[in-house]
Amino acid sequence: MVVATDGAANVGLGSFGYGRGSESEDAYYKKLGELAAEKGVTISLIAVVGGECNIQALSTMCERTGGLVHNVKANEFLESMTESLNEKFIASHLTVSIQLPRVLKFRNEDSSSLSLGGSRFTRKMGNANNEPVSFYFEYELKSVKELLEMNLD
Amino acid sequence: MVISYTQRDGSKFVRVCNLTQEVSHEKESLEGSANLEILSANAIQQSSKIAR
Repeated sequence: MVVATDGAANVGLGSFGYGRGSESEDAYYKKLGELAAEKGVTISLIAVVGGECNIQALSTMCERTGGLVHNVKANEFLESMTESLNEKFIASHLTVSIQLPRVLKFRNEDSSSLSLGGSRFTRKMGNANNEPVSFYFEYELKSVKELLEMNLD
Repeated sequence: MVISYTQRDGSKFVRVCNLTQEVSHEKESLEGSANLEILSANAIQQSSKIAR
């Protein structure tokens, strides 16, 4: 699915700035991303430079589903559309989970991605094409308090 | 690391990879052999997280 927009959504579901806080709009697009990823649908975004498109909120759908985000000049629109439609997907429902030794924990990651006291990081990546994807993470030793609570030998 | 995915024909796969990572307390030699490309890419991703 390619979402092409030249401005802010101002009417109906997911509209911005009409009586609701931005948090609920972000949650709305996050939820849409979740639903699309569950169904194996990829959402790409093409926003036109100079418009008032809320890329930050809309791109959460692309991030969650493995889609592309383009912020283009009006005359580059066709090229971006072609690129979005040409993406070759090889897998869906891609989930990557990294587990550290239990004395270590990830840092600066959203708590919703973490489990096992911060030692396991899980990222749902949606759909995968054959382009390489990199992501980076940092980890550290758990605090003395956390280590004591683990009753290690 | 565990990677799970569904192929286009519907078949599901799980791939498990393990890595033993050596650690060291010698800060200077670690800094000397650090992969700056990875460190800088990480810095970009971490700062984009903070910017949000």
